[in-house]
Amino acid sequence: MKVSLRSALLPTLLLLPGASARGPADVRLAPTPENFAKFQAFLRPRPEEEKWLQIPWMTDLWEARKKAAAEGKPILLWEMDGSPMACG
Amino acid sequence: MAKEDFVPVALDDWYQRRRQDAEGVYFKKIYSQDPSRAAPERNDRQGIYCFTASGKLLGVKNAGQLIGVTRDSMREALTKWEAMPEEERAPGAVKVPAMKYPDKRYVPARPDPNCLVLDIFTRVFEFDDHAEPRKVQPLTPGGDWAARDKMWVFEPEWRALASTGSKIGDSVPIPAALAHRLVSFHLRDNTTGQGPRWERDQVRRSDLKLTVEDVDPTGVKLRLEGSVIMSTGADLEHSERGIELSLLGYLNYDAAKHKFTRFDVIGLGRNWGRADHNGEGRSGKGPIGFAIQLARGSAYDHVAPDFTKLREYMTGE
Repeated sequence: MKVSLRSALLPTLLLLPGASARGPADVRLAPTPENFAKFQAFLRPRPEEEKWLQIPWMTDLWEARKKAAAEGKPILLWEMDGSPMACG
Repeated sequence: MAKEDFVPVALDDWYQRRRQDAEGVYFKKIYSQDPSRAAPERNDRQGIYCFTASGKLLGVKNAGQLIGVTRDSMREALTKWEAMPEEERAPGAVKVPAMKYPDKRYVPARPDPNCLVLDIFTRVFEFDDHAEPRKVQPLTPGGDWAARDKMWVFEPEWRALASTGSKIGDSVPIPAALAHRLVSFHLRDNTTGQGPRWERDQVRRSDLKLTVEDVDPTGVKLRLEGSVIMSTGADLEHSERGIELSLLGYLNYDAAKHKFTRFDVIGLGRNWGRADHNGEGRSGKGPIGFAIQLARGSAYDHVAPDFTKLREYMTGE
């Protein structure tokens, strides 16, 4: 008996979260051992996305103030709701 | 310029604007020199500031500007700095006292030395004609970059993971507190800015398990897999905001080193709704992905995850 590709894949597709009662999910979004390295590399930051980390950001304003006073430099403060270093 | 001409510092405004100590007084002195940030009705003091150790504001701009705007602001600040009398700028001219009595309510937590710190990177993306992932056109500058987050796994938790099963094929659910922390506080779209966590009743599904792939006296290798669904409404077709993910990961515990040497997890799926407090976020459903890994040993691994401000993050309660 011939089995269609859709019938063969359907049980697997229905295990994906998006499959519930709304039909099969997108197989392109199923993480597998075969695509793991590809997606991990894609999702990680590129070097050009981390150039700002080449700046030696301090994370303590009082220590930055002391350093600035000792070295005779102004302070550059990047202040955001949620640390820029681990914004979440 | 930032490296050579300034002392650069990056801070979480949620803590800084609340501090009631010498550092809070100093910061208030700075931002009070800018009319918009000094406005009483303003509930944040965010920005990119240039100022002196003595407390003189040299310039301030909103963050998220075009690079050229920020650069020009910094150059203007340096011009003002260099116009100041030498006796105010010279090394050692300003005496900064030791910090006494820091306001501990608003000093960010630091991870315990035995805490396992993870990096989490997030992207929204799309597929090309060959079903390969590619970056999207960003909604905001840098929106196509990997967003970043950190997660803490406390020592009792990672030791419990390391003790998962005694033979190949043993399978257990991920400890509930750890699953809750990951799902509620970290598996969300932060690519356009800071956004809300998932409340407990918004977690519609959380089926994450660990399976022993290999175990011997040298350690254990675990496979993490499962799926999660979070949604502001039970009806996933019509809820305001939501996310559906499948996760797969590989965790290696080295018994001789007493630590995890691998903690690689990816999560793939779709999200929808306005993701951040600014109301940004793409419309419709689209692909999103998460890459979780051991922190890379950077100078910023001590920076607290955003939701450590909540007792629930630290205790699970």
